[in-house]
Formats: sequence, structure tokens, C-alpha cells
Amino acid sequence: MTDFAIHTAPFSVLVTNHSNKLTTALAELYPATLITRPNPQLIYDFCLQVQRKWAGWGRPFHVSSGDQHFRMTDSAQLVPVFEWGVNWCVASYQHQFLAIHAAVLERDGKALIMPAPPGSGKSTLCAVLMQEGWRLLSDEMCLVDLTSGAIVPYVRPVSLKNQSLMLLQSWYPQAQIRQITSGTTKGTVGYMLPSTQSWAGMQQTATAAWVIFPQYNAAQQQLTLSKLSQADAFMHLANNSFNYAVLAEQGFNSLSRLTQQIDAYRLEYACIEQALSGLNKLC
Amino acid sequence: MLSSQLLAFFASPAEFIQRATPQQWTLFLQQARQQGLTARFYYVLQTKQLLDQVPQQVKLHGESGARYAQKQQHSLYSELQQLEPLFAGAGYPCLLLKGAAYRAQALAVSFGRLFSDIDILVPANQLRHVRDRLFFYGFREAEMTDYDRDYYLNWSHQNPPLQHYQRGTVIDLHHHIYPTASARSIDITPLFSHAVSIPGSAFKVPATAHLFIHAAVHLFYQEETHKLTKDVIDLNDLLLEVQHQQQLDFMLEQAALMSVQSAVSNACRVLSTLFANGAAQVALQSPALPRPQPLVCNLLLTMLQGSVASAWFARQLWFVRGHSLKMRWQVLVYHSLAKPANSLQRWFRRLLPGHKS
Repeated sequence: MTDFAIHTAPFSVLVTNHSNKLTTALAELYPATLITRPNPQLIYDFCLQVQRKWAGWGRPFHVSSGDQHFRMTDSAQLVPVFEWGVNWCVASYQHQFLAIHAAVLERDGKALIMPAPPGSGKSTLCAVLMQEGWRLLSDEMCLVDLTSGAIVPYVRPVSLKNQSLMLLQSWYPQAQIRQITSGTTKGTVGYMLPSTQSWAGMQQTATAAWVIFPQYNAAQQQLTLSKLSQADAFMHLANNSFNYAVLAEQGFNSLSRLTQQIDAYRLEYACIEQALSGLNKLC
Repeated sequence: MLSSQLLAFFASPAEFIQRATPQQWTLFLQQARQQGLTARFYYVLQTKQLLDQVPQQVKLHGESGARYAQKQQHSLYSELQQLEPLFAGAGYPCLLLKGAAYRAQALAVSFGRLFSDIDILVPANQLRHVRDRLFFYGFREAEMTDYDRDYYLNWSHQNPPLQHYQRGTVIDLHHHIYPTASARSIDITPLFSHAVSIPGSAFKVPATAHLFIHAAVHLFYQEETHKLTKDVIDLNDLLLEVQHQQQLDFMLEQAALMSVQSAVSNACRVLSTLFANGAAQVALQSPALPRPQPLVCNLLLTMLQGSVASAWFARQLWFVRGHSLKMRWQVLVYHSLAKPANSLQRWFRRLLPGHKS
């Protein structure tokens, strides 16, 4: 038993863990200060259990929260399944913030939000921007404070998949990509470590300024950056939100305020340099 | 003890928050989430004006749960609005049961209570008619094996769950509150005859005394234990409500009339032990109520308060006991053999060449 806790603000997770491999792997992904032994003097937001149980012919690891089962996995895929398990807890149980499925980065206190479904190149673009000096707030979840409207960081390793992994490695050979796992339900998955300034600013909120809906399109000759109306931006953001419907009136008010604060664009790109230069001109 | 922190909190919120350590709060949050009681604890704290005395983190998770519960309640109202025209012209009583009934009357037990479906009770001879009308309103039965469907129709007290094809709402349409396969005969005509109208609605709700009786029957005459902690907390609030509405004597009289006194008596014993429920203590003193069954009460308390091993053992006994109550022995023997045989048969069929699943 190597139980531990992860303190990635604004949520802490207490993990009942039966895998030494997981402990070693997470030590590669998170700063040592954020992974500690469980402290009985702290209240933890979520509890995850990673336990080996008999099931069929094997003894896979079961990732669960209490009696809510998340997924079974063999030891080889434990790291991605654990990371998805943490996302699942947050996406299912937190309604303190309006949560949008989006990558968020910050420069000069202003946040760039990139909501998009999987496969749109959101994480690739997010990783590139972080390598170019933007501060990472999250590659997965944009948390909007319901009272202040501020964008709250939830810094975790950036999840990269398949081709995106190779591209990032070739563009930024010095980038630290760890725990590459092949054969997962999402293909090959690896994690890029957040930059030092991103970890350092993990509790520093930002003000929403731009919303970009990225779409990677290999057939695209020229980058297109088209402005979206506030109404369109609102609807797209609502569609990409995990809990807009749950928050009802508060969700509507929060998203209205956000939409009035930002300029929204659709970005269609094939070439990352063009995308980067387009975004640099815009932001 | 799987829900020890929750039980301690609901027994005495003020005392719990005075002495809870951070470690206990962590467990508490986890257990509340597991039993769907996050919003419930938030409303208890709010009602008792204790919100300022709990750690900020606990308050935030409570608020978060309350938002979810509130959304569910909006959805319930909206769904009931959709169903109103369907039941408006019915010449027979249509009763909301369980969570929907608690919410329709805004009982304290309904604040922050989560729903998974809407339970409706109609007279047995109208079940088919109502089901057919629900089909026309876009509800359909979930896919299930012929055996399971027959089980629902012949031995249970409800139609197979009906789900709306678009909205996803699930309706459990009941014709009784207890499986018809049981040797025990419960007369539910008082539920209909004492039902209370909801102003402006085609639906009625059972009297609060009957709501408590239904919950007690559900807990003590069946085998389900997956939301045990929530179920006893519901019972506790319901009994206090029965007392508040001065229906305690009526409830005891109705329990005798419906032949469910043992469920009510056991429920009172358990509520008195766990929550020092004043109404339960009064009821237990009444000569109208038979003495609780110590073995049954202890089994239930062991499932809630025992060690992991003893709770597990108690659950197995409870499972066997529940089945032997809800099915006549002939049905139980047949079901115990036929259900696995049916699964085996389907498994073999899948192996046959040319089989399409």
C-alpha cells in the first residue's frame, strides 16, 4: 500500500493505491511538492481507489471512487486511466465552477480559451503555445468562477495523443514528454510536463479575453481565422460545457458575462506555424 | 462501517460538526457522494443555520451538490408538466410515490433529495391502459430478456421501467407497492382512498402516513441494500413529518389495516436506535404496535454499523430473507432455477453458428 495525495489546486485527491508503478510514474509527472503522503489534518475533495481485484482470468486494477466504478485496466495503462479517473471525478461532481471542455492559457493576465471536441487539435495547439511561453491553466477543463467570473487554473500534465506526440517531439526536442502508453482506448497517449511558470502560477487566476474554436484540417491551404458573433460563441461554449445545464440560471449568467468579455474566433489550420503566428497577431 | 460519518451527522448535525476531524470530513464527503446525500447535508446545515460552522471546503461541495439537486427538481417539475395532459382526463386516481411525492408536497425530506425516476401508482386494472397511453407519449420499455419481462409483469409490483425516447426520463409505473409474488398480502386501497390532491394537478399523493409505510415496507420486506443509508435517513425524516402532521396514530392504525405492522415496528426501533427519533419512541410505546423483531433490526443495524465482515455477512442474510419475503416459496424455487437456466440457454444460443446478437 502506497497511499498518496495529489494537491493540484483547486482540487485535492486522496488515492488509495495498490500499485508502486503508479507512484513512480506520477512522480515523473507532478512536482514532488504536490504529491505527498496522506495528511490526516487536511480535507480531501475527492477519493480515488486504485486496487487490484480478481476479475475473469486476470487481476486488473480497478479505478473507482467509493462504489462508483470508473474503469479496469492492466498495469501498462494505469497512468492514463488514473489521469482520466481524476478528470471523471471533477467533471462529475464539481459544480462550484462552470466547467468547459477547453484548453486555457494565459499571457499578461489575459486568458485564451480553446474549447473543442477531441481530434480538433486543441491539445497540440495548447502544448505548442505553452512551449512558446504562454502559461498553462489547463489542457482539459476551463473553470469559470461563478461569482467573480475569473478563470481558475487546474494545472495538470498535458495529455497528448498519437501523431500529436511525435509532432511535438520533433518541434520541441527539449520538451519533457513522459509516460508514453500505447494501445489505450484513445490510442497512444503521453504527457507533456507543464512549464515551471505554469506550476508556479497554479493558483493565479486570469481574465477571459479570447475564445478560439480550433479545427485542424489537413486540406486547408491558408489559415482562416473568422470572427464569431457573441450569440454563436455562447452556444458553442454551452455545448462544450460539462455542467452548463446543471447550473441553470447561474450557468446562463456566468456564460453571458464570459461571452461579453471575450472576442471569439474560429481557427481552421493545417500548419502550426501559421496558427501560431495568427494567434500571436490576435492576442 | 461504510456510512458511519453520514449516520453520525444526520443523527446530530451540530454535535458532528463540533467534533469532526479533517479525516472524518474527507470520509463524510466521500460517503455523502456515494449515497447521493451531498445536497441533503447542505440543506440540513442551512435549515439549522450551521453553514458558517463547517469548513469552507465542505460548504463548497455541499453547494455544488445542492446545485445539482436543484436542477433535478426543475427537471422533475418540467417532466410532470409534460405528463399532466396524459393523466388529466383519467377517471381513476394516479398517485405519485416516493421522491416525486415528497417533492410535490415540498416535505423536508425532499430538499436536496436526488431522483433516478418518477414513481407512479395506478389501480391494477388500469395499468395496461396507462402504459399504452405512455407509449403514445414517447415512452418505451428498456430492452430486456423475455424472462425478465415476464418476471416484471407476473411477479413484481410494476411494469418494466418506461423511458422517454428523447428526454430520457424513466417512469416506474406501479400497480402495487409490494410484489404480487409474495405470500404476504398488503391491502393498498387505503392509499387511494386517503390520497391527497395536488392543487392544479391531475396527480394525487398518498397521505404522509402512507408515504412512511411505503418506505418502511420497501426497506423491511425486500432485499435491496445499495442505498441503505439514504433509505434510513429518508425514513427518519418521513416519520418526523408524520408526527409533525399529527398523523402518528393514523399511521399506526393504517399499518394494522394494511398488515404491515412488523415493518413499521422494526423501522421505529431502528430509527430510535440510530437517530433517537422522538416519534419512533412514541410509536414504540403504543399498544397498537407489536414489538419489533430483534433479529431483523440487528441485521439492519449490522449492515449500517458493523465491521466490513459482519456487514457483508448481514447483507447476505438480508438478501435471502428479502427474497423469501417477496416471493412465495414455489416462485422462489422456480426463479432460483429458471433464471440461471435461462442465462445459460442464451449463452449457448450465442455460440450457435449464424447467431446474431
